[in-house]
Amino acid sequence: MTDARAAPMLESLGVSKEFGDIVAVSNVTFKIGAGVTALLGPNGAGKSTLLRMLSGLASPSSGEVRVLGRNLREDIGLRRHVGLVPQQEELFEYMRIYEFVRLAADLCGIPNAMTAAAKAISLVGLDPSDKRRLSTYSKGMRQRAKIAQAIVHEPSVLFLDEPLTGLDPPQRNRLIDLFHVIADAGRCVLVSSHVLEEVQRMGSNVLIMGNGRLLAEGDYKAIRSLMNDRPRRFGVAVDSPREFAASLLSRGLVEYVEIGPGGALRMATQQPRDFFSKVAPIAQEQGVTLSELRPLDADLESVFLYLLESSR
Amino acid sequence: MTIHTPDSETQIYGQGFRPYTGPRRHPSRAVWTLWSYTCGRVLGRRRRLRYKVVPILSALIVWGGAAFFIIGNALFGAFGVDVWDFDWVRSFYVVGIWGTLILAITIPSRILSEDRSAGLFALYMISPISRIRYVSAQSSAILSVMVLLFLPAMLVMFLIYSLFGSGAGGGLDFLNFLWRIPVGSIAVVLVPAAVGMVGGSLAARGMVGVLFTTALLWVPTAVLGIFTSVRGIPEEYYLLSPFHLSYGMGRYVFQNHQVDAAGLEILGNVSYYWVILVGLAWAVGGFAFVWWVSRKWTEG
Repeated sequence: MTDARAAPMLESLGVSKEFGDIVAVSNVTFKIGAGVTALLGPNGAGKSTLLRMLSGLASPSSGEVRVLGRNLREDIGLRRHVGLVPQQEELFEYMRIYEFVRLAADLCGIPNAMTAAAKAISLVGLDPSDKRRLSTYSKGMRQRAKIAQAIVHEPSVLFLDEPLTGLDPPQRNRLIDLFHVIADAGRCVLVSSHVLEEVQRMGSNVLIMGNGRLLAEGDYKAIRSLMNDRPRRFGVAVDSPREFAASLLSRGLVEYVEIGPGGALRMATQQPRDFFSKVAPIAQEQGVTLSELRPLDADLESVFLYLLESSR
Repeated sequence: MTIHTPDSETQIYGQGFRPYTGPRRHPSRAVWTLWSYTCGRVLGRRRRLRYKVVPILSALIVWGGAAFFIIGNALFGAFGVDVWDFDWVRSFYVVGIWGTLILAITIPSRILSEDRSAGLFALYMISPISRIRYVSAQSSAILSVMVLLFLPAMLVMFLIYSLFGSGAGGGLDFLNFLWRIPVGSIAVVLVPAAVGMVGGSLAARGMVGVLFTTALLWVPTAVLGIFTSVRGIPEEYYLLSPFHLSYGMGRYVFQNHQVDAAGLEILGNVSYYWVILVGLAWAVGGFAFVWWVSRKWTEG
């Protein structure tokens, strides 16, 4: 879990990026520490531009990026402690995996680059002795090669731009586990993605972007609880759905109730605390058996969609 | 009972991620890595055969030329004439320049365009390599290979000619010629290498870069040609075009110099100092241009 206040490893301080009249990233401020943080946003939200600025590849039009407390663009030596998996797919076609990863290790000053390269390649589940060129690799294998290149020098801060694209489920699981292992070793791992399911599995700490702005930061469950303008939706299963729905509506506890197939109730409330404290006593009072009560919009997808709607 | 023995494909993966806490080499070491890696790329090392064609062709032209003129001299008994004023050597010099020009036109364009399109530039920029280090490493690697292609051939020619009584007259005279060979080789390849890098920096595809480089080398020559024929400017001003600068700068170092009335070394009507100054301006300007234009390559 990221504890940015204890030791921020990556700081974005009012960072903006403009391309002529287009504002790609607007005044983004956050601090993150060790752990996996997901950078979430739809296509065109400015994630890749932000990642390029954070990793020192692009300069902000305004604002400042600090990595381990220093400016990455000014401190050349600091770059040995940063890794990047770029989104670009057509990479290093003519190299073999071992040459590619070893070059990255050499560039970052690892004394025993050969051993480091072999270890990083093995970590992502590829074969260091593979003689084929990267151009013959599948999309998933190329993704893993890029990850091996990014972790070969065991960076303190790791940026991954859509790293799981093209991977099959077992490979995704393996790499998500690897990201957690790296984070557990005290590293800061920032993963950009627009696939909610992936992000949810990487952890609960998120940076959500939309239209070039940072819409929310932190644990997505906590973010949801802060969204008071949105009614909370719940699914309820009872043995007498119509009577129970009427009772809740008459007491003003819910805004609406939908009765679905098999009598499953879906309802929305603006007073979730009241609702939670009263729903069971009301069921008991009416002699109704309450078999299920679950939130329908406390997941990351709902939080994400709500934030995007409100940003428009 | 079956006994399982590990075959060559058997591997143990997932040995864990342990943070590296050992020493890291100084950031400047990355420049050396990039330099040596680029030298390999110029020569087409570990690449398919078609990537080796240009360096092999260049070497064949330079070394074939040297062998041709040495054997020609031996057969026709022309040894004993001043090596640097001798037509055979001058002819080889032109052949040698063409050998290096072929390399300059094609290789820097390919390397720089690959760096951009294959994402290598981003890989460099995320490592301890700044744009100025990038340009320094790439240009010095390209220059090194070109010089190493040209220099030994000139050296072999010089030594053989000296052995047979041409050129160097004594110890100091020999040394006086000897230092000119590396310096002259650098002078020959400096402008073409810079122009090749400029051409490559302007294009995301190698072939387009080749066209740009070709245009940069010969369009100024054509323009100066028009000026000399229409405006009556002396023909020696051709020397100020990049193509002829390569020839002129090397010749300045290699050849015994003519001196004009004011004591300035001249080639026709053009002062050699101008040739050197303009040549250095092209080279430095070219490398500076690549540095300047590369700032856009990762901005997205």
